[in-house]
Amino acid sequence: MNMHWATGKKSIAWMTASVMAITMLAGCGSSDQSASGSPSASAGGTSAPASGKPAEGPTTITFMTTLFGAQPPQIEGSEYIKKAEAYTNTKLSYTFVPGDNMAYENKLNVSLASGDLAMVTVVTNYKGGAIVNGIRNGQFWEVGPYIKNYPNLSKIFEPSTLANVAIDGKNYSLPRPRPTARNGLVYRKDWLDAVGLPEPKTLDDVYAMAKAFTEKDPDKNGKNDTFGLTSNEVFNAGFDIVTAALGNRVGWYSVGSDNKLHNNFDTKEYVDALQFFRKLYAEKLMNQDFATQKSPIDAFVQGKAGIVFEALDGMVNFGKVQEMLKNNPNAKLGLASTINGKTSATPGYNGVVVFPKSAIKTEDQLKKVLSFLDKMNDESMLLLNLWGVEGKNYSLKDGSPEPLDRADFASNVAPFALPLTLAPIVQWPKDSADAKKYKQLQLDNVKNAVSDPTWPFSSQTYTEKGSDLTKKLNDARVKFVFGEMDAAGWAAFVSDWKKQGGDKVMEEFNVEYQKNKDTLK
Amino acid sequence: MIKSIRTRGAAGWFDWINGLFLILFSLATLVPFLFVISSSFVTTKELVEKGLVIFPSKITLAAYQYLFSTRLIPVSLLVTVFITVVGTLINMAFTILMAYPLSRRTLIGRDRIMQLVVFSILFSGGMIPTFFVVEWLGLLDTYGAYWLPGAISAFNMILLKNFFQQLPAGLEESATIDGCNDMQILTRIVLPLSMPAIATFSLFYALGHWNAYFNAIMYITDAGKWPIQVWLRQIVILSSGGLGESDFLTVVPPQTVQYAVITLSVAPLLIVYPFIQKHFSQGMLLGSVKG
Repeated sequence: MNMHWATGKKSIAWMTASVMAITMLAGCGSSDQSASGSPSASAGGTSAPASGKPAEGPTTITFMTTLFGAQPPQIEGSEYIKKAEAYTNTKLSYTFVPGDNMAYENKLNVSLASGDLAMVTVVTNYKGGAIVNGIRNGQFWEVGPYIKNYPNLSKIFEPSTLANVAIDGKNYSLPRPRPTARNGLVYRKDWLDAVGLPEPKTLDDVYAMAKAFTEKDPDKNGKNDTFGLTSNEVFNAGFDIVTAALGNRVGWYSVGSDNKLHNNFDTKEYVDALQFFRKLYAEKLMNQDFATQKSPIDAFVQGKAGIVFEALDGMVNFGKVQEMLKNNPNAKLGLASTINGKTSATPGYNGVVVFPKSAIKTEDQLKKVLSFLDKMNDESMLLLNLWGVEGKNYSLKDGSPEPLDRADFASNVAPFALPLTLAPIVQWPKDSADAKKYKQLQLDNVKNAVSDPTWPFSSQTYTEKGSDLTKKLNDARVKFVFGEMDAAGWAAFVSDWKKQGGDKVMEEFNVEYQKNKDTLK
Repeated sequence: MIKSIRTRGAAGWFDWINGLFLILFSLATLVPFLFVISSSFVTTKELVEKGLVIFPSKITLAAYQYLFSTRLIPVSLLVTVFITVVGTLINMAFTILMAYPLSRRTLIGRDRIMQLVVFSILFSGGMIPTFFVVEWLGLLDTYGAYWLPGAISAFNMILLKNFFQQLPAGLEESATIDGCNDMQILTRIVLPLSMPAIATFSLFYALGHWNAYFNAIMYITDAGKWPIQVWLRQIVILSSGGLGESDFLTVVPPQTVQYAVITLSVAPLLIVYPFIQKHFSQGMLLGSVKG
């Protein structure tokens, strides 16, 4: 053995090092002890004034939310916080959790188990997460009955959105709302004009547009380098829009004439929707790499593709799309909310905020928190939430805000404002033409947006097998569109899919649907 | 004689190919590093246009200026160094103090303790119970939450114990005759003989501390105590569009920033590694063959 014999010097050095290690350990032990006192003391410090303060002092409200920027905003000295606190007579404190949704959910679960949730806690994965069990165990306040007492909260939410976030028919959370008629078709208006087609209204129009964009050189550069639709493996929002257009159905199940849930996959319209995409694919009117394409919008902003099914607001506000419009003065966006007069609805929310009883001890406190959220959606506070600080982030011209330092807004205002802003669509007089249009379309088409009837419900089997079933479904759809599976193959897949849990999920949703169908109407 | 020349010729030819292959192979491992490092020094425009940059046409420090525009990244880098240095000392102290007694056959209840140790390798309490323990110990929001939950890696401890068992018993007996007590045997005889193993396990532990972010997300809410890996992860997720909130124009840092933060988080390790590599390779051999 070639052993490393230490010289005298080395052994002295090592001894010093090990003595150091031991002293550091001792030091660490004592510092841990002293530190162990401080966080619990400070935790007591934050909750004590909240429960024991006289009514006239500012109410302390704590938040837990995701950190979605590259830096945590500084709460000390934040002008946004100062203005919000002054307006609502509160003292705000935030816990930001970095990382992705998975990390946030882990943090949420340990905080739920240890009772460390903040008074207003954002939940990103709501119906599929452990929070539902916490709600059924009575760990959260039911806020449904209080909503009507607050001027903004009472009118800000779509009834369908509130129904979708309910658990067992009761509201334990407030949604972070998104427009329900959010999805649509975004296309290159300048290309459409170049090929001389009218704005698309029907599915045939969409097909004709995709064909013309592929074959008629819409960018007039003399090269055959463009195509129609760009899409990912789930066709972005497209598949639901097409099933809504063809069969007035969205998602896995719909309510039949017998008032029960039925599977959508064996309907003729669903197969027709598959055929529609298969035709686009076979005739090379859509991207041939859709099954592996993770960022389909890139082809659109690079001027290769002319059609995307997406959230209208998402596309218009997307930085890369804005950049394209800036760099190419000819490029113009066309927005279509509906096809055949229909579009697919969204559940109307992206996560919720919940109110844990471990943090909010009394009904009186809950009312203060709700009143705070209500006030934060007053007109003047919406201006603050969505535009930031006047003179710094925006300036008022003729009563209409115009952006100044938007980067500062994104890093120092938005993280605080995000969990508080509950209005799904806010119109401003000087919105861009595209923004004006999508907001109007989203407001006008609420009645034309087809919902998934299972959104208000949860299913144990779905929680366990949902992602697996979704993956199997996506794979089969891709195979069909590739032409590797025919109608008979699809039917065989569907019957197998039902046996693997699809039917069980439907039964569980159906039980809840039968219980709640009268209150939903 | 002719045969031997031919053999030599063949060997030369083989060496030539082999050398070329090895050079290509080492380039293949080097290029990704070069790519990341040079991408952090180019302009965003050049990176977007070329896609792959090894030799930047113009060097800019814009990405680093962005990172150092607030105290956040430099502070988190210092936090990481602090966590790593102190954490590794704690790890090694605890691991040695447990491994050495367990390596002595005279220790009472040795088998029972070893069974418990192995049990802890096979079964863990899970995320939530561990959180409770950390909370009860008052470690939330302290550096202790980085150091103490994983203070001893059972696996490393067993390897080190086996290493100690290899040392000839006669050395200790002679030390005892010369008047050493148990602690002196450990510090004057056993540890100096075990430097390769100690260097190896120190590196294992240090790497673990350097790359850790999960404890930070779970136990630490004070952003000032987050290590650089939290920001690395945040910026990488952000740059790939994973945290977008289209309603609120999120400022996505340019791609070069992503590479700059990767470079920053890797550079200190790259600088330190060559100095301990000698111990590392030797230690691995000794530890694995005899363990």
